[in-house]
Amino acid sequence: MTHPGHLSDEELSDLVDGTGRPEVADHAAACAACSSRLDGWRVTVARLRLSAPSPAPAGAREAAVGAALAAVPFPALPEAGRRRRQWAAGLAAAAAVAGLVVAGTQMVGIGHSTHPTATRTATQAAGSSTTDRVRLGVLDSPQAVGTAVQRALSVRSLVGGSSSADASSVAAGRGSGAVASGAQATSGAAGGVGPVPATAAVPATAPVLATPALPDGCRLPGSVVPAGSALLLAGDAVYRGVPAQVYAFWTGHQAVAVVIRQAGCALLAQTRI
Amino acid sequence: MVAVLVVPRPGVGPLTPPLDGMEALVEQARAGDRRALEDVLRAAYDLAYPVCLRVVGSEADAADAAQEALISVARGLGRFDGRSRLSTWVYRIAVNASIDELRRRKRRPVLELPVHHAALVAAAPDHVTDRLDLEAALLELPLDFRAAVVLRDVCGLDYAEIAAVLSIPGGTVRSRIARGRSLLAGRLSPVADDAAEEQS
Repeated sequence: MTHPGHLSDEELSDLVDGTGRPEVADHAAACAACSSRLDGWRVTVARLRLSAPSPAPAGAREAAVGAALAAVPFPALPEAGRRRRQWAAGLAAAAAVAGLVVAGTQMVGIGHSTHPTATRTATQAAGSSTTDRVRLGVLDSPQAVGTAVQRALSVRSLVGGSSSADASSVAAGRGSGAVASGAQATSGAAGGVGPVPATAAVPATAPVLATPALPDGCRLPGSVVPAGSALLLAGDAVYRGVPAQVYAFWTGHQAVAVVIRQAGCALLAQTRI
Repeated sequence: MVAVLVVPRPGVGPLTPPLDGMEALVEQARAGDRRALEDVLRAAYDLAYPVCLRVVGSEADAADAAQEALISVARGLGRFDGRSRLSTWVYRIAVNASIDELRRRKRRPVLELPVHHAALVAAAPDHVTDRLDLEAALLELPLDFRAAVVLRDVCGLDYAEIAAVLSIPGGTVRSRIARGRSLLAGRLSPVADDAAEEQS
């Protein structure tokens, strides 16, 4: 039996899967056009099957496992019992250390960064306003973390951290449950804030952490936040019902936010912002 | 007819679901063993991440989607009834998380340096270029087709499993895979497709 016309997509697909009917296979063998298409399909599918997906970013799996464990009530979860840490003092110290390091080199180096706004003076770094903690509210997903951090950074870059009004009016009303409610902002600026800029600049005042160490002995894996990353923002949040610290860094390539459980050093989430 | 030689490389190719040999560990996790739950979640992540990556197209978004998927796995493990394979269940969650991630991405501003596909390709060695072309072509597929093709040709699921994962009839799976492969082949092997067009 011969096959009328040319083979349909479904028939070609069946042949690729080895489930095509004999008359379809016969047609493919005899018809140059269908044979050519079948070859193209087979090459394409072979490429798909042999192309190994890139491995997950280092640390992403453990962050996801940590977030998943934090998201479920689990009787065996240990209580770290550690009290909330005094991050502001630690971050100020880190900023000061970074300032000293930077003073020796005249430049704040962020590894191999080529981002134009990632180079700052020592004075700017030491006098950073990024140690002002921001309350980011209740967050329920990495996306919400990214959005809240980005808004907080936008508010800061727009108003320069020089006034005392609360930024919650800026962040609120944009349709998100993630509300930045502690950033410094002026009400005038708040009224004029439009959508969050898609390419918000790294604040010029970001201090650089020589190592991604945080107070109370917590240490962010270098794979998550490389040494020398610039701290953009420190904040507090309730992440999936768990009191947490939120930090945003410029790694030299991208801005990332990490969420760390207040009790203990568990990394609950990380996301690009 | 051109012969197509496909030589599998070790560690590459359709994914082997590691979860399906972990029933005992899953039971321990459901009974409250934290370490067992961690191991199950790691295995689930290894299964979910490649799917998320192929569906959403970027490592960062895939990591977010895989994390959301893992949270759903952790929350739902106690309710998993075992009517489907655990890997099928995880795949379903991963695909849904990826779709959700793509929806969120549309609404979310992105802070990153612009990276152009053409520039990447120009600077990359051949095997990397090949992969970038493949990924770019995959991302151009409509989402329905992409998910079906990924589950079939990346994950190695059979049509019945894909139907279960996507909650669609088997006939729809077949047509989506066929259409997706057709579009992919047209983008990746335009010469063969053009020749076919001319001869028809």
